Amino acid sequence: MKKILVSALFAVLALAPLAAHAERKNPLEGQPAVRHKVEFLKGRFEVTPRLGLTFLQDFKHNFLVGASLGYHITSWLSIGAFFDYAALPWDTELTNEIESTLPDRLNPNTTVDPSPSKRIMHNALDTLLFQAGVYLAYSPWFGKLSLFGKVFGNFDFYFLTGAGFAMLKAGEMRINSNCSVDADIDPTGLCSNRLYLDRRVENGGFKVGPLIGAGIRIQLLRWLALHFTFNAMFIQRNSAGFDRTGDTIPGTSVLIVDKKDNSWESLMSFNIGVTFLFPMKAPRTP
Amino acid sequence: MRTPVIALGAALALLVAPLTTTAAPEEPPSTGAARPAAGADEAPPSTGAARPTEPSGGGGEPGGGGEPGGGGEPGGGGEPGGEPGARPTPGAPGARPSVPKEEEEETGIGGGPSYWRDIKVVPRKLILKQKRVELMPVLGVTLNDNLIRHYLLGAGFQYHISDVLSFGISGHYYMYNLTDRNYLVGLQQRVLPTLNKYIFAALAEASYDVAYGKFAVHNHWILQFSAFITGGVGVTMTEVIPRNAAHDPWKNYNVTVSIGIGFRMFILKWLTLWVAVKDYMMPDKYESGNRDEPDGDIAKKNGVTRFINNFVVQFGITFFLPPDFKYTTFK
Repeated sequence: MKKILVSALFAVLALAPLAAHAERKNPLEGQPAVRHKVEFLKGRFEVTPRLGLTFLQDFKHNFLVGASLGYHITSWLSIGAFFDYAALPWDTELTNEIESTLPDRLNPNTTVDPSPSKRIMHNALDTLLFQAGVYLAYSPWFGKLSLFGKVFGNFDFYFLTGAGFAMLKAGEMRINSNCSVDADIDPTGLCSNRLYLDRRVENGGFKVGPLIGAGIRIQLLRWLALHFTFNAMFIQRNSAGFDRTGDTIPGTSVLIVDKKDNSWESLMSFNIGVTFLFPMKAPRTP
Repeated sequence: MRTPVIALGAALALLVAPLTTTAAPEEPPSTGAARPAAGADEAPPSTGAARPTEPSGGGGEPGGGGEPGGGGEPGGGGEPGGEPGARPTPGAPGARPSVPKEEEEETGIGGGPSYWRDIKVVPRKLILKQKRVELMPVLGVTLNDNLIRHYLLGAGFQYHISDVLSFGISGHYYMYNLTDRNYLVGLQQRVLPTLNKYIFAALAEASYDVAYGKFAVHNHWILQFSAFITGGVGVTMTEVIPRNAAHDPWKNYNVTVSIGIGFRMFILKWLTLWVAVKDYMMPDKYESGNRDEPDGDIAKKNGVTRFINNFVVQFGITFFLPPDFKYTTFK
């Protein structure tokens, strides 16, 4: 009996640490990664005056001046809107390249050689007037960084998606345009060598399409941040302003320019702004 | 006799007093797992290391009181945390130094109080790169040519002479396809574009880490990252795509200078994810606009040289060798 009791005592003593070990768990389990985090975003409005540039455009780039507004519903979800006025368009290298290759005047027989002249090619291009968008932004990442080990800052990174809007100014070649824009004018002031085009739709107007983007805010103060944004909206447009489907008026060689000549094109821009956050005081998490 | 004893005692007390004032922060750091209550400002400073109030507030400075374990972050590999360098205000060992309200309002850019300069943004980097080799398989796509798009496949090799500076070589092979715009320019503007295709590029490159940091995903997982700038010199081989299919193409070997900026995310001690945008700058020779000679050599002599900025976005994973390393300091 005594042996049994001693054995049982040893067994209990031997197993006790194991039982205690089994009850141990990581005290950090389920804890937030960062405590006492400054809530830069949650429940705050932001206003961001910004400057931007379009890029990867086929025929015209633009310098943008605009602003964005946003409200952060949570620290990771926000809604917002932006408007960018296209202040300064300029031709891309592709436009210059094409223009340098084209003849100064139309071929006398444009049914044989329908190449546009330099002026007509340029007149057909559309031009961005403004772009805007409404979006939902998802900001899963926040963090901090050191630059050259000297300058420190907090940042958050977000993705956005929504609807984009663009207002395009149609090229000079309109539905009822006279020959001053789509033909040569001879020395007597009369039209000559007109292109064989039946323009039924102009390549300007208000365009709507899906919008995606991403951005990063680097906090300078609790109410002030540097803000970098990339936007890409996809709209149906005919930026070159000519026929692309090859459909003609039956029995003639007159090409029809209509909606079918639109294609999905991306309108991409990069913006840099300064974000003001309201209210200016940012609370901390527990 | 009594007076010298009192004087000796007073002198000893004066000598010892500063030591006791600075002793607290020099206690050995605890591990992150051993400080579950850390992060709560109200918790007594059990390690003896003073945990100053954040001057910046953003995200919680490592070891400074923001994060559980004072730097030993969950998911951070269970590395020892706790900042031994977090100094208390003189005369108040173990206490939280008071920070002026104006400093409290700032986010930390530009420094802050002197003791903050001793605190690393990322204590215990996940990867130490010094004297390690980095192997980099590369995928990428060109960005800025509307008429022809190239995809690239390659590899790189870097040797890190320090934690921020590395030198190496890289090379990639290009594949291409013509875009819709290339087709439309021919159809709409009746122009056959002059195009060259890239064949390969090989460069000697240097890379410098300009920023290091960490971020939390939904305040749950913490990941570390760095941003780097890179530059190099090498050669790019291109080939003319003749406008007239009956004409011969020719090849160019162009001296190329590259600059770029990239972002790297550290996954394991030997593994990272990275993405970079680089500009490969070179003079390249194109067909002249009025080429009528089919022979490639003659056409090359009459070709037109242009300066090209070939913007490429690259991404991939990198492997560090040797795969493991040892920390030699607390930070």
